Amino acid sequence: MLNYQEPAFLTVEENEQGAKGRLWGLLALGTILLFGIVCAVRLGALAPTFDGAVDVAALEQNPTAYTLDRADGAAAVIVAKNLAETAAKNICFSVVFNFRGYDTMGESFILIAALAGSLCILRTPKKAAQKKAGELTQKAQLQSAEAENTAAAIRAQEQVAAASAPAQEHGAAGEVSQEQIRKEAAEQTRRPRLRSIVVRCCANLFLPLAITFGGYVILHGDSSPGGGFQGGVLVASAVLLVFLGYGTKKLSTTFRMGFLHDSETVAELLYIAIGLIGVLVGLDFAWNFMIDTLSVETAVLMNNAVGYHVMTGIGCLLIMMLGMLSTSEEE
Amino acid sequence: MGIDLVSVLNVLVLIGALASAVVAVQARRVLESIIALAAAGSFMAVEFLLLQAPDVAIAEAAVGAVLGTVLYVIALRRVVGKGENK
Repeated sequence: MLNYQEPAFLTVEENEQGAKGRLWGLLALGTILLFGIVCAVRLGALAPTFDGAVDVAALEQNPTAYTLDRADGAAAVIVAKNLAETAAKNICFSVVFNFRGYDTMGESFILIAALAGSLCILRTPKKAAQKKAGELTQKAQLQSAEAENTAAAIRAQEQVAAASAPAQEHGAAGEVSQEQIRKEAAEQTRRPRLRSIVVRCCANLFLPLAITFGGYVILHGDSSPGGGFQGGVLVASAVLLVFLGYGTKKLSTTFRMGFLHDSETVAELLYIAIGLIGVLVGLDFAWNFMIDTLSVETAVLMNNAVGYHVMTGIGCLLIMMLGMLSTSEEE
Repeated sequence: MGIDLVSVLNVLVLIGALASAVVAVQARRVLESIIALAAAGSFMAVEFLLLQAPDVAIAEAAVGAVLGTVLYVIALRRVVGKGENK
């Protein structure tokens, strides 16, 4: 349970303009709701493109047996084309990894860009602080008197910063009690906090389940809903479970962030390399065909590469974010 | 047009998603907004499932309801500071 004090800049100010804006907002939301209800009801009345009554295993044996009676419009064209030209069993799968192979590659690059941006933004403060500290020591060696002044100023700042949070509660309290509160706070942060045994047991129980189910969703992406992206996120939730059960310190010893980060790049390169096999053979980028020596389709390999990519990328992102949480607690 | 179970479910889920979205905008505390946003994401996942898009439903449930919420809570704790000592 998070108990926190709402900072001033996060609270919404009440005024007439706000009330007017709220009225307009409610009106707009009401319009959207009405529109959505009408659309949803009309959509429900249409013939579904896939009603769950199709036997996938039988289709695999004889793709031309698929009847287009229940499919309509563009879906019929896609289904017919897909079954005629690619060896995929699942239409969604072949759309994502064959017909829209470039799109999936771009989405993977979005994840890489997000991770690179987070790394740039989140790693700067630590280095800047170290640099600042180094400069201060250099200064101290050169000019002792001035350095003493700055050090005193820094000490005073630290004192104010450390005491400011409890001081809000005990505004009228004297300097002595402030010092005491500061000491207590420091002791509390130093003491290793043990997580509740219920949370730890739940984490232990769900960790293998989450990883196994995520792996299942990745590997069965070619014949059932799911695939690389969804399964990868499920596997990455293992990071969260470790954090919930054992805290940030265990997190940094369990996972190696550098390895995860390198794996992400390798996975993206794998995806592109497998997609390029189609070009080398003379078909097209990301085209689906059987590799006879391995008896596996290229789309399945691409799906697995995306799963590897997402699982390492999201895991790396989560570790970075949670690590940021621990540094804020140490300060 | 007959009223069948899917239509009724559609309407209920849409109302739920919109109600949680309104709560997310109107809530006084940021934590309440985050939880309401997670609820909206879950409703959207159910709606995707009703509209026969299980792939999108899984992605929405994993990202919208879990990952997004976790990142928001981390960001909130980073901004507001450590609240458990209070």
